[in-house]
Amino acid sequence: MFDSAKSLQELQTAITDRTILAQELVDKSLTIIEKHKQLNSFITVCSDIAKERANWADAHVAGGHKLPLLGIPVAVKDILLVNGTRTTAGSRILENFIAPYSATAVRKLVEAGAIIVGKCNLDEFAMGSTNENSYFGPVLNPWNLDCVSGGSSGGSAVAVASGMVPVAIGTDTGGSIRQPASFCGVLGIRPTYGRVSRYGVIAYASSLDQVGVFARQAKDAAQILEIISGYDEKDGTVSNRSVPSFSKDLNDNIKGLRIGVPKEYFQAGLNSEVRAAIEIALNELKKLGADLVDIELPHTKYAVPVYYIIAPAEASSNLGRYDGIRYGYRATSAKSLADLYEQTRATGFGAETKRRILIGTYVLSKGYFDRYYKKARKVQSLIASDFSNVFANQCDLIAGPTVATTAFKIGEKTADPLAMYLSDILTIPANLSGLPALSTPCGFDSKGLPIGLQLIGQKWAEQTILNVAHSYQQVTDWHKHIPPISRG
Amino acid sequence: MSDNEQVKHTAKLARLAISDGELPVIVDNFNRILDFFKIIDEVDTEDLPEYSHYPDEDQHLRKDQTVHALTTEQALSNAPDRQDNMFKTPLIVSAE
Repeated sequence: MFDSAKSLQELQTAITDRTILAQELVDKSLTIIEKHKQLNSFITVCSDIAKERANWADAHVAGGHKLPLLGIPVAVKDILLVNGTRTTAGSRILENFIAPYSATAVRKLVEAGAIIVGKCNLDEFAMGSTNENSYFGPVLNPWNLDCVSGGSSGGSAVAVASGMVPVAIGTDTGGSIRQPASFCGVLGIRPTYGRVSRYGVIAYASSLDQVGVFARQAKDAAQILEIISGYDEKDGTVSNRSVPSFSKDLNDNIKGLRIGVPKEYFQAGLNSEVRAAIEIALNELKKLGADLVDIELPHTKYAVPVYYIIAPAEASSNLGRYDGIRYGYRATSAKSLADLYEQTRATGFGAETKRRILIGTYVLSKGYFDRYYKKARKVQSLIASDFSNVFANQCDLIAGPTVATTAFKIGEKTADPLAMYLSDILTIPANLSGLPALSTPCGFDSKGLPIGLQLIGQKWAEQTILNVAHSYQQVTDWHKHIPPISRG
Repeated sequence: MSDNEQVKHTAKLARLAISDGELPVIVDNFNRILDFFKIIDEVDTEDLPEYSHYPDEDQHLRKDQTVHALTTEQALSNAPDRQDNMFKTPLIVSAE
């Protein structure tokens, strides 16, 4: 299996030195994917294409050529288009959609020599926090098969956690990388909004979606992030700032860094074992030389309602394109064009997707726009100001729990959408403020379920949070733990 | 708060069919969620701007030049129904 014993760089060196062939790595990945099929981590496994690419990679190496990710197996959340490959967004409405082009982030990985072994399962259209909303069934947590993987990038998190691939990419709109990373015991990073192109990413909420990375080690996440980041003329929201060399500049000296600890992230509702693990983790950071600073983010309590107004509003617009005309599922019993739209969407979308489209349509509709959407956008300013105020005056980054609990049982929250929404309270604020954030493993609860430490940085300061995660990983081994089903 | 008619109207706007059987659960969820949203009413937003990630950055636009996008065949490749180079749909206006 792919674990933390070898970094991406070490794997790549082994391929370049011909200590191992790309074909062997890809075969290993495909074997483990098949072995752990029950986890339902993949919607599409690209065996034939991956093997062909592995042959190409080995020929490339034999020809003396080098690429930073040559021969490395990678998994991709099935919300990023991969040319010529089925891309479903976890939905019936795109069940048989074959992408006619690749997302920019995917293209960059492929140009760097990576081999895409498959498309990972996800909550439908990235709407969800447990991966139970997929048309293709839930993803199981490799630490406990009765528990959720987290979502919406559950499949990607599980692919790394169970050793199927060394790295995977996902998207994070309200926590959809960090939360499954926390539940599955891996590192997941969501960059600053505008760092990575969203071209070719099936849109959920365009002002909040960001592509990010799953890995075990901070240095592997850093390497992938620098490859997929950067200006793209096909995405008007990507910054033309130069991309730092995140992996080369990675260091473990965090002496003097001021780490803000928000009181709002440690209130009622935080599981006592999660609290204990986070406090120990913070103490480790203090021993490494960082200063812990108590801070307040007073508008945190408005983050979930603001998110669930803005994100569904944007989704209701973005998902208007799924009408059964130009691509995707089309209902067969429609009596007219209008009926075709309504029946296609009613039977093509799952319940949560329909719920969010309805909420989004409502808050944008005449008579309600000012009261809900416009108001939410203004409250969003206050949430973002909380962060800019503390970063200007008190701290360099923020640390706390990623999620208030560990992974819960499958089916536990599906009957109550509101309970599900509230579980995102700790991750959503960073998305609303456009900030980079990551989760790195920091312990386990008494049932053996992973706990995640969240680090939130200033805009464009992915290097700072990667450095802190890297430092923490030098003195702890939580990121090295393997789920029982993956051992042996 | 929303009632059945309001939810049905919203569904019409969203081009989503809702069956009579689904309606009560949808209305109940809707009302619970709208009730949850009320907390933002307590915030004074009178002089606040609407949030933007990058208010001070210029939007960078690409050059106004024709670029190759999808070919006709690529664009039609996922069509549920097609005729020649066109997407085929049910009648918009009935023959009656």
